[in-house]
Amino acid sequence: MKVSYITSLAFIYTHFFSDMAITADHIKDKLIKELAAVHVDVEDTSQNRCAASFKVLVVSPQFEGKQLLQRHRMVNTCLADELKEIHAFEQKTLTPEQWEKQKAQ
Amino acid sequence: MHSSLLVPADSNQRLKKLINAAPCMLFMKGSAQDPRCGFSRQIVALLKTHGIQFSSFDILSDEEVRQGLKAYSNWPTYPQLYANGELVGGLDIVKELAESGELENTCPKAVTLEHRLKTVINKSSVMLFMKGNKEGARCGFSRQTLELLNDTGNAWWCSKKGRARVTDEIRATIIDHVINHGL
Repeated sequence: MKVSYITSLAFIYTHFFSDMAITADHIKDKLIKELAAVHVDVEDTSQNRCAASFKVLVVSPQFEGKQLLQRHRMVNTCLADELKEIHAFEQKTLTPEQWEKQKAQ
Repeated sequence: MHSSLLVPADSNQRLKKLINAAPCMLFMKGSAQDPRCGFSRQIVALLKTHGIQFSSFDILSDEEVRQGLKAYSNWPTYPQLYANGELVGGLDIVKELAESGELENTCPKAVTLEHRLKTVINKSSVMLFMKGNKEGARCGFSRQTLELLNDTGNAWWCSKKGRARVTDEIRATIIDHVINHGL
């Protein structure tokens, strides 16, 4: 009985507390995995505000031929769960070609 | 399944109406005069700098709209800008449109008084700004001018379908324009 008590405590702990911290790495991994991103910058801007805030740069060939709104929707869909918790979110979406051009400037 | 199906039908109607309340609608935190968040403040500043005519709705004042619109448009954040009933996007997108010069094409520009006057003055090769209209002048000088023009057989046109109401502002601007630029 003591074992099951500890097990349920452990379950409650991991279930509630591990989901709460959205990290920059977590966001980066998701974007790479789901959008085949070739480059991702995630800046945690939470220190400027009182809650989880991020600024991301996503470079992906999947953005080719897509309008701005569509690209942003792709990112929003990828991070749908996270965005429910995130307070402030900024994003920039580029194709690999646009990324190279920007770097050259 | 689109998430707008999860919003009750009459709520959808209300949101649709709100989105179409003006050619350019901004859903933001706070009002255009008093924004309550950095992103909302930035987007208002951008629109004003580019002379974009817009109306705004404070989503902080209405929780139903605040949550409902996110589901309706499948867009998770504010501010949200709509042009002619369609979502343009948030601050990031509006920033990029402003940089590329596309913002003016997406949203209607505010029509300045000077622009309105220029349009009206040039409506016809001869334009008479008078009191009353062609059918009935409302002052002696206007009546005399009417008669003069009619006698000379000039083809002319009276603005606003014959019911031009010259406000003090327009009157002052016309006088200023004539003095500084000539007719």
